[in-house]
Amino acid sequence: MAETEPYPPIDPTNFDLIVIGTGLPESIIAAAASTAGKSVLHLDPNPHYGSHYSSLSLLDLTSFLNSQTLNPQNSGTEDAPDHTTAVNVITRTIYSDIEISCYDDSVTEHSRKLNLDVAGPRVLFCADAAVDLLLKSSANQYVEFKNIDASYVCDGNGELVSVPDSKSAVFKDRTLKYSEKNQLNSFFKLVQGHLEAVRAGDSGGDDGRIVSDEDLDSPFGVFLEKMKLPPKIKSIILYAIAMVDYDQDAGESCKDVLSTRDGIARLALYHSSVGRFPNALGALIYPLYGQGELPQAFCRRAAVKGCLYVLRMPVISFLLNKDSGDYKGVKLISGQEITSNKLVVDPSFILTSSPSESVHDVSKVFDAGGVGGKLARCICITKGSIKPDTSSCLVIYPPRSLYPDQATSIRVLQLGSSLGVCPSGMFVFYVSAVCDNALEGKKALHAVIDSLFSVHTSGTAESSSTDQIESTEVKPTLLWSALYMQDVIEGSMGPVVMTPTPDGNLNYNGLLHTTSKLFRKLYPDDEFFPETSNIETSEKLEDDSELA
Amino acid sequence: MEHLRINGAYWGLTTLDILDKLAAAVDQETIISWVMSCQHESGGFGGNEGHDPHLLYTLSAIQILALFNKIDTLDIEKVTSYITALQNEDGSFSGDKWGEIDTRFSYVAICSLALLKQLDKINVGKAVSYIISCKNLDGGFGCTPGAESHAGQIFCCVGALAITGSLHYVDKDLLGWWLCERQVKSGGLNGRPEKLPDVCYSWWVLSSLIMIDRVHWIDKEKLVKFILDCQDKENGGISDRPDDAVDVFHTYFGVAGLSLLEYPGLKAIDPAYALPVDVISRILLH
Amino acid sequence: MHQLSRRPSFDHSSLQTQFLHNHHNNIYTKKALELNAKLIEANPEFMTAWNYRKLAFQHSQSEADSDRIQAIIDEELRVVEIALRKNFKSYGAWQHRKWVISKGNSSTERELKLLNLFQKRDTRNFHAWNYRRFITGLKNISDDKELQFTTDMINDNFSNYSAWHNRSVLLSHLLEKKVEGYFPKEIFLKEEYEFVRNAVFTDPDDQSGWFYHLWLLDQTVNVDTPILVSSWPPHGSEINKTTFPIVLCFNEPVEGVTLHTVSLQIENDLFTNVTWSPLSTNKFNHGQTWLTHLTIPQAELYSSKIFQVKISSESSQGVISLSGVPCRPWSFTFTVSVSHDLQNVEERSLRRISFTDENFAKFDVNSNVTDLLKSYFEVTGNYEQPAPSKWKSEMISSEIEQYQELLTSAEWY
Repeated sequence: MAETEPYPPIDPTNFDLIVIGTGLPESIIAAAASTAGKSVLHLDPNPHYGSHYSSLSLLDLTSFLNSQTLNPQNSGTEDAPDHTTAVNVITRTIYSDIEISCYDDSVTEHSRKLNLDVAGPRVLFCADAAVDLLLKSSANQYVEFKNIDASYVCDGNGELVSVPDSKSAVFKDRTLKYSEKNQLNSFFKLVQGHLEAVRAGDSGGDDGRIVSDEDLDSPFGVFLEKMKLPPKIKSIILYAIAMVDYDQDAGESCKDVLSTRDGIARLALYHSSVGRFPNALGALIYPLYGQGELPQAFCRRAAVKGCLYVLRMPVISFLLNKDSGDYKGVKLISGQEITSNKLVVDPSFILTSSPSESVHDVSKVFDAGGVGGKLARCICITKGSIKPDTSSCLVIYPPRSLYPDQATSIRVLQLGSSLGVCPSGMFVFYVSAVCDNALEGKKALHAVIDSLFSVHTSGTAESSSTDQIESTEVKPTLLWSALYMQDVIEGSMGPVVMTPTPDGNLNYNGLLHTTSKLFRKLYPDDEFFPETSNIETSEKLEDDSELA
Repeated sequence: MEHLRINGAYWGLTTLDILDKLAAAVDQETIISWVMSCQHESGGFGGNEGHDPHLLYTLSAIQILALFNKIDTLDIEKVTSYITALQNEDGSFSGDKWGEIDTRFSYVAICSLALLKQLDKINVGKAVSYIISCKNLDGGFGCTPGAESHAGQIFCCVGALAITGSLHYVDKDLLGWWLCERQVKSGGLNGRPEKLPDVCYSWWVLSSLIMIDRVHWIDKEKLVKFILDCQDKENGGISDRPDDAVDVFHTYFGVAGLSLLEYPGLKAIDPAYALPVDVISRILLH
Repeated sequence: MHQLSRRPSFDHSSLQTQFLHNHHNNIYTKKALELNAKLIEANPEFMTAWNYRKLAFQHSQSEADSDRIQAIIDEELRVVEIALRKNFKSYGAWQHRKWVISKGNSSTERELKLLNLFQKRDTRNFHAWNYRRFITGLKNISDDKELQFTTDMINDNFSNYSAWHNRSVLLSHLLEKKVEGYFPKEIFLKEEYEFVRNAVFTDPDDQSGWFYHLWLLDQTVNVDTPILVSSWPPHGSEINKTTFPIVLCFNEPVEGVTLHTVSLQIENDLFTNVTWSPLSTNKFNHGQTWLTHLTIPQAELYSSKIFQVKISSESSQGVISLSGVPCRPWSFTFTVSVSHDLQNVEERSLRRISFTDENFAKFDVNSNVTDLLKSYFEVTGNYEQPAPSKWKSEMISSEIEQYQELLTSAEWY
């Protein structure tokens, strides 16, 4: 391929910053640096924007997942002129155990009409940091959102019930008892009262905080019990509102215990999301045409601010100063060498440390970052929704709700054609769970698939439909699925900055936090998107219907 | 605002009178001649010179003249005929010739005519029936039949019923309950359930509660504190809520509210006529 | 009641002077109207400016064709919308819209769309709710549909007293008209109790639901139409004198008790010499108890010494309550036996019948009258005074039970 493709020469050949990979963190950094007046070159070896954060057609997704597992050749280093050493770049495998099944060949005919997120399930909370950043950076003008219609949680009996996530949802709920409604909303009000008291305390008013410091430091699960909330409500708050991953009842063995302080903050984020935008009904929104629209929006913002974009341009090596070992620039597949003061790379690129070279030269500029954990991800395409008349919804399976040793919460996002991600009549599902290994992860994914969909191999559709007589609710038929494991790598702050892979959270808050830290490390004297006026007025959500 | 200057004059002058500073602070002649210049050839008054007449401004004009004991400046017959012509077949009143109907206008007409001692010129029975038809099941009143209860509207209806001696139509306990629930934690009063408190409701709610003899159902001390918290300590004015900008409208309602609460140093105000008690006695007892 | 907005920054007073000049000289040119629109945009509460537009409308109406009039109407609606954007609570703007809409063709859809937009942004705006009731009345939009609108609003945020209020108004209409699905009452009442229970339990501190609940309780225990609860003489009783009082006692004050609305029949003859008067009355002639005196005319003319008197309201709907609801039809009969011997005695004792407290005790000594009084008091409840229906008492006790549970769970916090 490389030989047949003419690579365009890049001019100029020196930049303040080179960014490799167009994932969301890289795109945000490129946009922030451009906004701060830096000259930026933004490269991506792929023919599309978004890297690990992209939304792809079905065929592109398949080849993207597979390509990422291939190790390219060309490892090692070579001397270049001008006291420069070129250290070759290789692609690191972050996806594994890929399992793609097609139950109905017709799906592939619609390949182009599908926009599949590589890093699903993911949504934005109306009040979260990503929405604020979109508004602040004006990237919001390139992306539109729609709200997620509903959210469900699996209760103790395996039934999916609506998440009573706000005062009006509690009011409308049909499964809670009246007294439970009272308890749940009373707790919401207690938290709200606490936050108001904290705010008043901060601004010099009475410090009548309702929740004691001791309680704030205690586990949230313990606090909920102390507030006498029944197990059902406790589970809803922990897993379906605060979006906790690990079983908070596991005691000492729980890997990540949520403190009451953080639990209250998550509840507050959720509640301030409900009703933040008059035209978004729930707390959650999703970008029209897929999550891949977000990195693109920031790239467009960066381009407006002068950032130069070149796709399909692999970097084959980093150029280091032979004497000092400092970073100098990159060598492109075209052979062109480009220099810059700073370099940001997507976590799939690492440097080879060939034995012939002194290892410490490489590690001095580049910290590859360790694998922080594993995520089991799954994309399913079906005919039919899991709930009638619902286009998009979130489903939470709290720990132990699907099978006894389910250690973590499993989240499922259903998206319909109204979100521009699939043809009408089809639905796209994303499933993810934090896990220790592929075995555990796949077990979680399969449990969800078995519970939500009817699976039959093509050609046996008719016979299997008769097997379904017993089940009262008709499950959507699975047409296609992709299961894979993803390594979680956190960003690193070496002289060459490495961005993080997608994490296991439902929203981008954690990633944005890391990204803004990386930017500050790069440019401590520059503001991460300076404050602009009219933040609230420029919001662009779906259908801001005006009068005729 | 230019369009309701005459209302503004009434608010300001009544406040001064409650503070017993009216004579010292203003030039009576100038004001009266300006008020008279707002009268339209139909007999009604406009909100300002050259503006169209409306019942709302007509009452303010009469009230201002009453404050100065100068009602005799008016051609009473002419003003009366302007008002009586606005009564409709069903007993309701239109605000002006364009026909908007509202129980506010019933009050304004009845209060005006009472001050002019011309109440016998309208069909009081029908006027009262119309007001009763605007009564809601929460005991309150709305601006037209079926409209939601609102403290301002309740003042108008209860005031009109009080002036016409028809308070027996009011379910005093039910309405008193609704009205006393207007008091919120800060001590202030709101105008409808689940709304923010506002100093102006110190007047609307409080005067209604006094008229139906249920004012002891609210915490008066807390309300006094709320009103005082709304005062701008530098320029003296009163705002709708603490720390907001002050204006003459809220200053009047704050001071009038304090007067109803028997705050020391203030003249008593009549809850139905919205004029100092001595002014009302002067008119009605002579 | 008030809206104070900031003084606009541009040269407002010269605009105003120019406008008043146009107004006083009946100048309705395009330029003058544009100037007026500017002024209204700056101050939507300026009543005189709206009046001017109405005059201008009338002025051009006389000479324009229907297309042109439609264009003017559209322009007026546009000006109103601009004003409402500036100030949702402008009395003048809403009123002008009502006035214009009443003048001719307008699209119901457009009005409902406007309302939905405004009511979403300001869910408690009573101007918008009033305008909504105006439009639904004008355009004959069914109460059923409007009820669904209140359900939607309440589902969005149940802390909306305006929506609950309108719900009670709409349901009252539906009940009155006995619309299918809202009759019998107990079915919808049960649903409404459940609906509002969700609100009260979710947030007991919110007043909206409680007041609606109070209304439901009122609907459950109250009788909608005025009824005759008792009479003297009681139904089926026997009187043995020819001159006696007739007392009608209603469950609430009513008006319109006359010989035309209440027929009095002796045997088959309609008796027309009756004057009913309320026992105690308010000044508008409503009374809960009505009285007349009947002297059987020339009793000796009747062939029989015992004859039947029938009093009924069945022929007329003229007896109505304060709220204008006609009384439920009723009738009762009693018999009078004429005894000439007794007549003088009866007339004497009759003079002593007086419905003041101190006089009641004295009748104890007079056995004749005691019997009469006794029957007067006993009779209460014989006339369709609804012995509280079973469903009513069940509903009330179920509510008591439910709300006791709220007390228990609310104690936790």
